[in-house]
Amino acid sequence: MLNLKFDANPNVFEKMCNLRLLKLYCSKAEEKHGVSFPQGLEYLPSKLRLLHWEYYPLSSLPKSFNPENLVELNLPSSCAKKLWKGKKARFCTTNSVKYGKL
Amino acid sequence: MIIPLFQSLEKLKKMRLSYSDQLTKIPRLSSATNLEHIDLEGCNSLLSLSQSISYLKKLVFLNLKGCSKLENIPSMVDLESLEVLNLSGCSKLGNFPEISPNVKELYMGGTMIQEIPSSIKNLVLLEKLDLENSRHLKNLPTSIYKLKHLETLNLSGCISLERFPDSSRRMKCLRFLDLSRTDIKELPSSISYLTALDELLFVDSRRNSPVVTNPNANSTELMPSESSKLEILGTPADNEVVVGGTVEKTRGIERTPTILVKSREYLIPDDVVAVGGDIKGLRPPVLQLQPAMKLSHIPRGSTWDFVTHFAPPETVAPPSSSSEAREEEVETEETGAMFIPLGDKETCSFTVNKGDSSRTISNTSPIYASEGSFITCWQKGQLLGRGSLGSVYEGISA
Repeated sequence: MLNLKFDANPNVFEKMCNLRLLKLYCSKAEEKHGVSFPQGLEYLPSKLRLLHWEYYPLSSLPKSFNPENLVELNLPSSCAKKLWKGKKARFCTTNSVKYGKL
Repeated sequence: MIIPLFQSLEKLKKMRLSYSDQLTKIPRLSSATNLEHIDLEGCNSLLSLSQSISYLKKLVFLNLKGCSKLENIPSMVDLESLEVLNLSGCSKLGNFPEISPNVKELYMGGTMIQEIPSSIKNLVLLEKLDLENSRHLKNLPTSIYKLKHLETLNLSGCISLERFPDSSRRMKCLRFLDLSRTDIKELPSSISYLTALDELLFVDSRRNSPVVTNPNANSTELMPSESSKLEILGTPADNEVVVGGTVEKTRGIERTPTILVKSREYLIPDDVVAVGGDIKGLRPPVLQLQPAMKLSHIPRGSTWDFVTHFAPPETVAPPSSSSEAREEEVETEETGAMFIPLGDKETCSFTVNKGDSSRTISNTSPIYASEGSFITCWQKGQLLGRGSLGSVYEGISA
């Protein structure tokens, strides 16, 4: 991310609906908040296969994010408190509803 | 905004949230049926793990190192692919978890665990067991000897551990055993059954200068029958240096076992002989004096006479034919000198140094020359060589 510092719009990824690999990398810890999201993050593309984000600055992933294509989730040193927000966000395969109803 | 009720994580293989120090819980992972790798190292706010991880049949690697708020771990018996489980630094963890029998590496150092259940024998594929700094660990079951694939056992810093179990079973693969900074007073003699041992660390950190010893190069394997021959030659700081509890190999020689012995007391079994610095123990048979040989016929005035001159009379059996005559010629005052005949006619002599070497040969003693003439006066010449049996000097007839 070099020394780039800027505030990003919550819908910054909205038009990148075909994005498959996203890697935000920090070479130095002091640059960890190069991109900040003062109004949060609304959207991540559902086609994402790799989400690698060092020092992810928010407390959770966007509520709308559907990780159905996600193969690798790397969020080292993140600020996440819970990965997915919202009581109704359950992750379940369609054929084993057993755990989804809990 | 759409909140998906059922989201699938079916394609997820790797989840890494290490050092996310505000993370309090992870999502249910029941749908992540292909998940192979979970790394939650350093998530020191994590309070609990979802029971759903019990169903991850493909999980190979689970790292919970330093999850210091975690008190309970769900059963991991069904994680049939699990190979590496790291729970070290889970400082609130008090119970030994249920673990799949296929696990190969288990790290549980720095926990509250007080004892290892004997059911650990079920982890038949275990290669590495790391219990470093398990300060509350009091007991190690004898069933640990049933872990026949175990290569590394680290018990360093288990300050409450008083004994290492004794068993006649063999751990044939155990190469590294660290018993440093424990409360173990002595090693059981069965330690000699650990035939594959490369390194045995037994260092007391309460003393600043641990005794670093290297066993003989020959004793690569401590076979039970040979354990009595294990000599530890004290040549400090050759192979290993102990720095703050960790061991750094500096000039380690491959396949030479290194034994670091606690300095406080003497702690290895009686049948292991320790020798410090110089050779003080029993000499190997090679260096011992050989008994005199009987020679059937020796002509008068031969080299044999020269040899017998230096021998104490009781060690020499005079040749049968001229025994009366020869007894007069054998001098008896040189009791410090002995000889070793090596062959029929080609003999050579050694003198044994017992203190003062000048006493063993005096230049007024008669010497028999090879032609049969009698030399009564000779001078001690220069030193030809020294061996374990003494020194050899040149003799010059006057």
